[in-house]
Amino acid sequence: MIDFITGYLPLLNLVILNCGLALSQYVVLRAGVFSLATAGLASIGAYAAGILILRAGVPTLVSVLGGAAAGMIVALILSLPLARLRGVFQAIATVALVQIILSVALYADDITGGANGLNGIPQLVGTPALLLFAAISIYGLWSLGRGRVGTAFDAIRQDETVAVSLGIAVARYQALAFALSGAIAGAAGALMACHNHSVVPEEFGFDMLTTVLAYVVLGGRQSVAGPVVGAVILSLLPEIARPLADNRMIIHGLLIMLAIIYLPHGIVDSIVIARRRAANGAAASVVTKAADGHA
Amino acid sequence: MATLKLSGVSRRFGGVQAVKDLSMTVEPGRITGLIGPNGAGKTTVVNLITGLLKLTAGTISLGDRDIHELPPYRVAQLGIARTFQNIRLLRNASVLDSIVAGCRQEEAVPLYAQALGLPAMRRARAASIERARALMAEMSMSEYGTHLAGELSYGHQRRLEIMRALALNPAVLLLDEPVAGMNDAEAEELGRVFRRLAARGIAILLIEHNMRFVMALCDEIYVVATGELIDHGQPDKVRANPRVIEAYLGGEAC
Repeated sequence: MIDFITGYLPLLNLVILNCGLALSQYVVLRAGVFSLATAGLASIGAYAAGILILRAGVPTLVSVLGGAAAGMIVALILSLPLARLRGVFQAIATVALVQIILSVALYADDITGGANGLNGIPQLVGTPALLLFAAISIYGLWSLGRGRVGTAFDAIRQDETVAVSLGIAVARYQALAFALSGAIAGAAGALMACHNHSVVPEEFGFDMLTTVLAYVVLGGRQSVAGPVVGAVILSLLPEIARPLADNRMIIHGLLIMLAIIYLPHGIVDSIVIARRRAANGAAASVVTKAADGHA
Repeated sequence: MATLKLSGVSRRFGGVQAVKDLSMTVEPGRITGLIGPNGAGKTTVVNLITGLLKLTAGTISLGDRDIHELPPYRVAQLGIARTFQNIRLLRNASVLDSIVAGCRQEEAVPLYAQALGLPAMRRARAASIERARALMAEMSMSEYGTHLAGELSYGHQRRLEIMRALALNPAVLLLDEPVAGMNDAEAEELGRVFRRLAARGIAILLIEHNMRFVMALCDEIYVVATGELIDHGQPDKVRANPRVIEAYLGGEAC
């Protein structure tokens, strides 16, 4: 029994880290920002934590918080020029940012270790720490999401002009979304560095960018459960069906297309909407019946 | 409650003078009409007041405060709410959530308290929901709280826009053709709602094509044609002006 659990712990850890990345991507998409910067922000967090641990001997917890802070600061700076862009232009600008960060990581040998990355980071982060990270992120986003912040994000995403007409400060809420996205991605990246003993630049490339986007597109971008469900499904799929593992990117691409066509709101949000419709339908038929009874 | 004042407002789009030297006053407790033929610049006026468009000349003030240089969200926060000529909804939000989006009191709760889900945040949210429910009751839409905005009937969508605007607790309400496409009975019912809102001290600016509706409802009417004010005054006076009849009604009797 113990063997069984320990055998699956690495997989659980992977799923949790992917959930973290998915949450980072989710929070910007929910606020109507088409940012794909999560991979880049995660690499910032990973390098920040790795450098703090290896070169400065900073304790793990402080390093992970440092990674989160680094991700958040870069995201906040990024939010300033991006506030002038919309939609696909934001996506292109953030993809460019990811490439710039990776290039810098590759060429700044002295600091980042270049193509070899950072190695020999002691593994100081286990499943409990990862679970704690996931719990804090999910609770924080859930709590913000069911209050004013969630309402503002949803309004901005659906119709920015309406949001503005209701006094919602769009730039401020989108900066908040960026800050949350950066902090969570930075923390996830830092935990990846500690969990994998190393930071490898290729890990944070275009593959991660599309994979993370797939989590949210498949799961949904309104409720917090969406990205979690998406990340769990897409992380476990290649493990359950081994032959699929080699063609992971093809499967992700296919799932994104199918989700966009058949479940444009993602799995979780589609269920929420369907249940709401069913409830309204039931209520309406009760009203009709009552009216019939009177007649 | 504050008076909305436009003084010498102009707006040019390239070579087109959409609004030219327009001055008007929208007073609390009154329904002020803004009428004119298509392309007269009526919706441009709304977009200028709300800050979506910038002025080329003139000033706009609310009470003793100039608002024409503020960003649109600030204008809304100061209490200028609007509806849209082509209905604009948060389509996937429920009716209740759409109205709650206009309730800004929750922003007073500090962000950390919102992230931690402290009682202060839950109380603020409960207050917003209560307010939204009260507005739904007032507009006879109580049983539609959970319906998706995008799936409502046309008349209910118009009402939702009005409830959403009222959630802001506005000093000024800008209504851009609120009864377009409605039959007389529906329009009359909404007219009674607007009267009630005005009686509460809200300053209402009503843009409308339905002449009978405007004449019956408004305390004062401004008439614009090709961006210029051609008359203003009480409905009877405006109706009798030959220039108004020519510009707006094309010579037809009203």
